[in-house]
Amino acid sequence: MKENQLGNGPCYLRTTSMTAEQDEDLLKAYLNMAPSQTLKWLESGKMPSEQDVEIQGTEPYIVGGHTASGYWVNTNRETTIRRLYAAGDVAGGCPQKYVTGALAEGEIAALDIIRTLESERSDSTVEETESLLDEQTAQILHTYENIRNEDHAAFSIEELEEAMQKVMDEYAGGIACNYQFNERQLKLADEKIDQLIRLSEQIAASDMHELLFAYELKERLVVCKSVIAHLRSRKETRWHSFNENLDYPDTDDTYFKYLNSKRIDGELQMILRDIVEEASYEHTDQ
Amino acid sequence: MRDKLQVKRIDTDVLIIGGGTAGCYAALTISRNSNLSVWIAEKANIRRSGCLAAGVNAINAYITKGRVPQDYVDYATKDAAGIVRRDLLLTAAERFNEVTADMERLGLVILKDENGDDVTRGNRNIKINGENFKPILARAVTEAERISVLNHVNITDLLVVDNRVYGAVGFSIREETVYEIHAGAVLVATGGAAGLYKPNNPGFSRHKMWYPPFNTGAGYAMGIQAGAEMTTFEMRSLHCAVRIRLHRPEPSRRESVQSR
Repeated sequence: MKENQLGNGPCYLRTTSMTAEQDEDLLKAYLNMAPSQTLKWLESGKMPSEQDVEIQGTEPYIVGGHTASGYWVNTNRETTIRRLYAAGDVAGGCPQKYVTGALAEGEIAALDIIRTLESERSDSTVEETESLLDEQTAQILHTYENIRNEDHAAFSIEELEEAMQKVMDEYAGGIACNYQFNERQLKLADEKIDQLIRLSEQIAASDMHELLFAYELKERLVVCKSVIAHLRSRKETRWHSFNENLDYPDTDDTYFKYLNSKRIDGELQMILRDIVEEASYEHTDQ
Repeated sequence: MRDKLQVKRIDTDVLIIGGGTAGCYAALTISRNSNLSVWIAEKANIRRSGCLAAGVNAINAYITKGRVPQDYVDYATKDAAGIVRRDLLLTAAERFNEVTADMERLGLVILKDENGDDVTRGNRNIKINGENFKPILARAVTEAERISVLNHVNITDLLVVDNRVYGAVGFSIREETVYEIHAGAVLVATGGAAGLYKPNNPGFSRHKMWYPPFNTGAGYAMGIQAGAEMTTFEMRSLHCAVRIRLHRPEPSRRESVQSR
């Protein structure tokens, strides 16, 4: 990225030093994961050993399998909501877990679920809880029906999705600003995402598949709000090159902590937690 | 007005939201170790869903010969400049090799050298023929007892009262049906979030990105809205990928050379 900014682009991965045998291996490796790349090499008639591969940075993702983003869990992968567990890409605190980590976390959560349910299986729901659950279900159903029956939608799902991606790209450290951001931009990003959330309350879906797209937009907007709040609250730059906070360009020891968040009465509250040193962690203040 | 959605109620011991790698393996673990009933709700079809849909050509978190799980913890801790949970890293790393061996028993091909040892790629990786990783896992789930799978069902909301989960609600993508699922415990095992930021490619090709475009952050969103505490969303994931030169549309998905 820096090379491109300095005018030295495009950037390549040197593959032309490879042998024909390595070509074969690479084609096979990609067939096992991203077959279209193999097809593209074959189609172009030029193997990687004959032509360097141009590379570029992707847009940012939120992925607990690679970074530490996600649910705050105890060692058994139970979240701060009782009997709700998280494993894999949605579980936080365990970066670089990849495929085996996802399998391992699924197993750890499953074993604790068995322990919990086998010891407290017969706990029956009280009537009051039942009626609250019925109310929640009715409310959710109502939202589905509203989207299905909306006939005054001002914007399509796709238009709002594009607007959201543009806001995040330009004001929350996307490719357009070389993954850099400052507080003024993030404040604007937050306001604009709020605006889009209001507009998304009037989207329409003509069938069940579109209802899925409507929800995918809504959930992305919810996650955007949290990403922006987190970027704003870590007033330092800890992970250089892919997370440059231009107002706080240095690492600051005050932020050698976990930055957590929790929605209370519709507002995101930020929580700084000390680094866990113990071999086992249990939620104590929920 | 359209016809009203039909509501189906399901009661189960365990609901798993998302039938990807973690969700399928959790279901399998519960089936093997208890008599509990399990439902998996998956918005696609578990045979080819989640990050492993197109396969993977290496196990990238593995304890290779001469190394110990703590080495993996130290590596991941350093890489994230200390913002990790070492208890979570260690408990996962202690299982890396055992779950890999289990996948091999289920039919996954792990490449071996002439001495019968794993073929390593760096200090933490071994090579596999992983194109069919997900179908192998999905088949094991389908054959296991007491697991029911709802394919093409998208869960949107958790049912939570007094900070305890009682189930979740979602809808079918193919039929005008709503699912109200009541469970003794719920596991969220959906994907991360792609598509928040403007992607590298425009128009028809905008979904040609490094991370599966179908992972839209549903699991994060339902937790945020239910008041779960979430961590470290500010640590974003960026990757260095093969630049796609667009000539015409092609159904590609994931073209990573090197990632962080």
